[in-house]
Amino acid sequence: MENLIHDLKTPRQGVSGGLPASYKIIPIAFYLGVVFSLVLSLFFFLSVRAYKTSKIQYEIQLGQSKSRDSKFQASHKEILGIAEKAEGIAKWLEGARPLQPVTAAIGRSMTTDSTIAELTFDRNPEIPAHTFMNLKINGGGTDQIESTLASINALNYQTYSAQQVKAKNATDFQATLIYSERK
Amino acid sequence: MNNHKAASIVILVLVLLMGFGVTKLRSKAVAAREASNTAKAQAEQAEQQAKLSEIKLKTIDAKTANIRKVYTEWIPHFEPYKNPRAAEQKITDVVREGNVFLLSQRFNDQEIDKGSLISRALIADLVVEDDYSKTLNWLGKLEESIPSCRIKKCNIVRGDRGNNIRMELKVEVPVLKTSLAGK
Repeated sequence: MENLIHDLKTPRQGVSGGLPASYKIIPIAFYLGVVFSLVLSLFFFLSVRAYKTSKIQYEIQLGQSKSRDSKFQASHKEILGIAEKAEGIAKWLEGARPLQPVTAAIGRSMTTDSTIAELTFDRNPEIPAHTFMNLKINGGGTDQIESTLASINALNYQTYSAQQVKAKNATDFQATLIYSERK
Repeated sequence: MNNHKAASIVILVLVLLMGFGVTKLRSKAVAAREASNTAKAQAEQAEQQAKLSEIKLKTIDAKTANIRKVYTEWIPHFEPYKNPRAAEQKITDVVREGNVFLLSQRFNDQEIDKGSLISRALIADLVVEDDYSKTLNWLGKLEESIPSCRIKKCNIVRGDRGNNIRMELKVEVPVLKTSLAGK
């Protein structure tokens, strides 16, 4: 057989022998490498897209959170502003309690033997809620003062630093009135 | 260079290019992941901040509810007196409506507490002399008509005639700054 082929095809000069069989792995590895590269590229491409999408979502979320935070902070600031004004108003009102009920109560507490010679209310310039009272009574005595103080206490006023000077048929009473809410 | 060598170089270049492309895509994916993670962290931080602000808002809202209620209830009584003329007119009206005998009146616009919320006030010095009950009722009417007013000083002595009393009053009516009236 060899001779037959030899007859048809003469041996060629300068033709090298075939590569070893193990070298067949090189093209297989190359193609596998191409496929692997394509798969990896696709994976990374999809990852980039997914991360970009999630980044946009987080940025939207960030914007919404910041917007909510700004609203809360603005409301907080507004409430604090109103509270500050309210405290100023409350402070003023504390020193602006009506005096007429006290005046009327003192007048009503007078017995037939007593008359008011002079009644003065003077608010403390530093603490207007503290009212200095000076009451001069003609007639009466300790009983009258007690009765008057009971009338004042009934209006939730407490008397502090009370001083009483008794003269002949006259009483001079001084005290600081402070309103205190009864519980 | 024979064909084998040329083919090897081409394949090598192709392999290098594939490697470069995959590496580039990988670094892009890593960068995108880091950017996404950063955005996520920022969004979470902003959300936490917003929640914290909400809690603070609710706390301050509950804490100042009572004082703000005072503000809401009382501000209408302060608002009419945005200038001293309005306060002066109101006092004049109350005196006229009360029909008490007015001996003297003096109005003065003063700075009462620089830097505080209510820094200015109209100071009215009034001297009236009339029947005891009529004068006391008028005092009550004055305090009722101008609830924000503060009787700074009140001096009551016996009047010249029968049941008359003479009352000297120093009344302060707070004059609001426009900014206080607004929310």
